Amino acid sequence: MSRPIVAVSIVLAAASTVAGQFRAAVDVVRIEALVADNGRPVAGLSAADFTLTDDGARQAITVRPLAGAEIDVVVVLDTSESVSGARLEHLRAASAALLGRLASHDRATLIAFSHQLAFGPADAAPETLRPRLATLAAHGATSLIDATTAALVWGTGRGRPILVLVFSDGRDTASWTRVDQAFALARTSDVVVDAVVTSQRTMADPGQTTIENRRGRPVFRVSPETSAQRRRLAAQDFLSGLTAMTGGQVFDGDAGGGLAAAFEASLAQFRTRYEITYTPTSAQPGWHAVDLRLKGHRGATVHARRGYER
Amino acid sequence: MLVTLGIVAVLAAQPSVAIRSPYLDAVRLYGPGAEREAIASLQALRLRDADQVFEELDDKICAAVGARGCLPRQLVNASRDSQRKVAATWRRLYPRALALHVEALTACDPTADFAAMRLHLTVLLRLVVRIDQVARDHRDIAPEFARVATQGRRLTLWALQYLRDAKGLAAAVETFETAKIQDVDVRLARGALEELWALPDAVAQSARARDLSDTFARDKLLAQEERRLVQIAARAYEALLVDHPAVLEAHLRLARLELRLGRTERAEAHLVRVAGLKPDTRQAYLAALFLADVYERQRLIANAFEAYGVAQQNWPGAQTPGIGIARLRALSGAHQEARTALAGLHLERAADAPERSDPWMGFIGAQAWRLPSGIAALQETFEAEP
Repeated sequence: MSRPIVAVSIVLAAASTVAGQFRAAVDVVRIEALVADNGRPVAGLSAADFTLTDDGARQAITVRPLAGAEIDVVVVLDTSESVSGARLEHLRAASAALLGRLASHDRATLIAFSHQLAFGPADAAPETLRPRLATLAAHGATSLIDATTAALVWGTGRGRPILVLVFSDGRDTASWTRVDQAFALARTSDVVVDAVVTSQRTMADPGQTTIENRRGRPVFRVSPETSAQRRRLAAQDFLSGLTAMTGGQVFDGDAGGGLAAAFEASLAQFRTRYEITYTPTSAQPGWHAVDLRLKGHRGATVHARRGYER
Repeated sequence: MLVTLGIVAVLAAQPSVAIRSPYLDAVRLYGPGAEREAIASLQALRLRDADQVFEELDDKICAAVGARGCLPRQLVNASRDSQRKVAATWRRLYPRALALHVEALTACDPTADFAAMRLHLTVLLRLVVRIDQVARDHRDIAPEFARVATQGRRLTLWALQYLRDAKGLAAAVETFETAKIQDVDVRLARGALEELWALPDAVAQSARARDLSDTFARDKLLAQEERRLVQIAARAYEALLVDHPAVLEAHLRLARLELRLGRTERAEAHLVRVAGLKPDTRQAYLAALFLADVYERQRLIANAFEAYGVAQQNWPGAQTPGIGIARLRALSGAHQEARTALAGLHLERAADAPERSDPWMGFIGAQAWRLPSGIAALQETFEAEP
């Protein structure tokens, strides 16, 4: 079957139709697991300390601690209008502090988003992101789901440990990507998504967002009570789902240490994770449930993604 | 539009009534490049009553030429010269006042400036009627001047859509419908209004009002209620398309509503129809973008890719198709190609890269995207003071 597609003035003949499944190429599965005992990371573990089943089948795993390893961090920053004023300064400072904690062999990528996404520097030495932080400006609506989707795309399938750290203070108001589409991508992704959320509205927040065209005339406005795709999910709900799916965590940017402490906590926690890799014994397409357990450490908990889509 | 409105402007420069007041000064100040200053002057007046505006625009001006009022029978006793002066004054002031109050309305904060919004809306609704009236009744004003009223109606509706002011939009649409004005813009505004009522947030608010404490029952009711309201919005566009089958905006908006209702084939039919109706690049872009969504929901992934590609061709600077393509590539395991598809989002873009803009953002605000060009068209009609 072939379907027509709209062009400027003609209907193009569509390409041959591929019905059905997406196929994700999964040869080696990688999981970054956080092991904690009473909230403190457990160090010194090896493959002998874990058992892992993939759809119920025990797997032979390799375990490597991430402490000291080269990592990638994709920083996704909400720079919509609600972040203007002091909050933008805090965001710059927190991001700069995060970059300061990265080693020179690590790589960093910055995605700033309002309704528009601004990508870069990408896969760069951490220090090279600093000048970009200084130029961030807060304006416009919030395309949180689009930005997070772009980060997932950027980070997935790189063959190295990647932390995607998302900051947002509001609900999505302008994304094209739907929540279910972002979640579907997250199920195939091997990145860890951490989120830092804040809920306080600033004095500078006018309660709405105006987007102007080049002549300074308004094009559209989004009030906090409405959303582009009319999602009920606030940023925190979306990010909670996403972090749970990828084995990440949500940090409270309003807590004592503020944004900087939340950013640093996310990175510090990521560095204490273990990279667990294995080649699954089953190549069956579809969802693979992964069960990772620790042997002989009572009270310790393992925090990792619960599976992957093949 | 420019051509038709331009007819009105082609009039010999005639002297107008020389009367000043802070309000009339603000109106006279308004024009291309002086919008913000004029709006600030108007806001500084802190008007509270629409009657104040018409005392300035009508009563003071007619009184200045010795007439007891502005009705045709009251003006008839004035000299021909005075009548011409009044007509010239209105031709100069009414379009400016219209544009000024539209801009002042859009400058309002819909979460705080309720009184100002109501004032500007009341003024605008009355101005539209008044302009129609003088175009019909005044022998020194050409009947074409009524086109300014038509443009005023559109601008008012678009401004309210921009503000997402459902109550204001309801008031305006009902006013025009009651006056038997059923043009395409009013009917599109009716559709936009029904869409506003069908927003999940609006539905949730109405459910909260019913104090449903049972979460399960509440969610079920919300879903049912949302579907019912989306169907009502869809019917508004369907009815419009029965009378005006070539209105592309209605096809596009109806297609999105059909997708919300899960009716992908109906959505597809409307979007394919757009192709046969000579869409402009914006409309072709949106139709292709929405088709990509249709095809993805139908699991026709190759078609979704191609539709995103067509969208990119139509609006090269838009970010949305790139994100869609990147996501689909990543889902298919082509990670490097997926990352390449994000190239348009990079800060370090080529010097000749297309300007970053995206009609998807404008689609969110119904017809509000037409506001800037609509204001510019009205400004084209402004008559200068001699």
